[in-house]
Amino acid sequence: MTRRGWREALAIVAWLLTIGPPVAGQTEGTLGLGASVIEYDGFLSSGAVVFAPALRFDSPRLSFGGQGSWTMFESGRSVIQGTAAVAWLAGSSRAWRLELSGSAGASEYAAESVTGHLLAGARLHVFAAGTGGWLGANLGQSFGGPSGVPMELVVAGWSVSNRVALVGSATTTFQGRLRQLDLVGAIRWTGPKLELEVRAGARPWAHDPENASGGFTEAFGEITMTVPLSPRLAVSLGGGKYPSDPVRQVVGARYLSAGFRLRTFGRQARSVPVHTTGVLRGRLVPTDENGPPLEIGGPAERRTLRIRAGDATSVELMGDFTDWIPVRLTRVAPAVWEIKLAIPAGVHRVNIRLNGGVWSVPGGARLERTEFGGSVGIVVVP
Amino acid sequence: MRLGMIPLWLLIAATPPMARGQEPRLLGRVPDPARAQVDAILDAARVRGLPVEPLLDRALEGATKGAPPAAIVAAVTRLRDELVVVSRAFGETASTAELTAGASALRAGAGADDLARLRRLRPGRPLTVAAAVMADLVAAGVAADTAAGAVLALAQNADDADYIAFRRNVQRDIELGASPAAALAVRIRSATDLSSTPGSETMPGTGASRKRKP
Repeated sequence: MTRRGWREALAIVAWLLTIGPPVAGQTEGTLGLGASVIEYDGFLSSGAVVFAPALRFDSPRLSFGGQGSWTMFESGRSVIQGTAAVAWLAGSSRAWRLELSGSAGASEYAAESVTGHLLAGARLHVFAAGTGGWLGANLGQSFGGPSGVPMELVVAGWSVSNRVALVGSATTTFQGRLRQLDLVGAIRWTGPKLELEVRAGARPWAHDPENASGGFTEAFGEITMTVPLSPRLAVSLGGGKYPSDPVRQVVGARYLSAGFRLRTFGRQARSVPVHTTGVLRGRLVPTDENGPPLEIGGPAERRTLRIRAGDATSVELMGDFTDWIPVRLTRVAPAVWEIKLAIPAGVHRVNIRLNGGVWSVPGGARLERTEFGGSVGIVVVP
Repeated sequence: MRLGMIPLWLLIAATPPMARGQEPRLLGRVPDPARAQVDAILDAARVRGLPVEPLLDRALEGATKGAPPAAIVAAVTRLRDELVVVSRAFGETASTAELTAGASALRAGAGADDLARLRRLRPGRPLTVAAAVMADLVAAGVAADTAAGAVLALAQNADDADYIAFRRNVQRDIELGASPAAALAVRIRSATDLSSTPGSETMPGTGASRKRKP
């Protein structure tokens, strides 16, 4: 393969990788600003404003990508998320090369709840003249979402000509008891004054015993058009439907988006739709209660009550199961406070207090106004 | 010696019956004027077969939170009245936890008829979680009659874990921006498969079909 061929192959690999975690890409820094209308599966639509900076770096063997976004929805709630990934291409065989990669992402919704993922991956690439493919696997951990170690097995192929690139992939995902198969195909056409990308796919099989409402088989597709207005500024229009991603905790949605992308440095603007990450990373989460969530587990005669409060110096609670006498929790780990109490199954009333401040309602508990002038949290202990 | 006994005898005779069953856990916690009245309410509740523990807890909660005596008595009285209503709806065999959960649902806006229907639809099965979820849904912004309809729609087949998952999903949908009615409709549809028509759902308890906002 010629030197140019290698560059093309690497560029295509970088693009391929954006179908999964954003691992590698062309060297540039961008700032995106746009607006979207998004409708999560089964929910009402909402307008959103997105600000999305991104940074990518490539060398012949090492690629690095980082992107962040801040998304403000109509409700006033916002999502802040960031993803970083690194990939190292090993070996020098003309036909076969091994790639090792790692990616991490975190997302915070409404300043309340944080989720994230950490994935390590390996891919075995095969290159030919203008075509290629790879076999890959990702393994890691998700935080704040579904339980179970996520694993993805991927097989993909690609082809590139002067202006057109094609790619197709099949991904099988395992996480806990969830199983699903995704088939995705994409085509990108790069013209002198327009870049067009169409992506279509299907989830022909899914099995999610823990969530009857999710994991349905479905078809999806997206189209993105990018028009350069100047060497540094481009406008992007996009729309379509994308599926949920349990590993990265992305909720499936339909969307329309429009925005500008400013290339702050680097050689060439990439066609990353402005709507991307912030909206895509919207997750199931939060609470509006004014205290951290109270977790209750264990048998009735010795329940473990746990509160995660990172900046607390003391944590107390009181409730009907303490005869409304405040009790202190013990810090058992950084930011983790616990106490063990006998609590029968049923509906209970509880308040918590951090750092000797005001008594509040724990997150996740139903707030009830009392005749005593304040609020109490109602929790159900099954 | 006999003269020495008179004051004690007089004291006992003059003491109203309601004060004889003093609840020791109230001593030193609930102010005296309120404590006697709460004790009287507890005594009357025992006679009626109502659980006294929730009433006692409510008094202690008020005392700990520094409520005025009148507010403590009013809160205990209100809870007692709610327990009476729930006891009629759930029947004499209802547990303390069920009665408390039912009272919580009543306070949230559910009707006594809803609770009675819940009992009929789940004969011999626990009602605590179902009633609590009914209250949670109302607190989340779902109209009381709709919340009751949803809980009743699940009543025959759902166990406690199903109810808790249902409540959690609705709550999450609302927090993601869905209207309470839409969130409830979507989740009840997926839980019961009441409707298979895309873009519409049957509102529990109403039978009406409603389009989802695009």
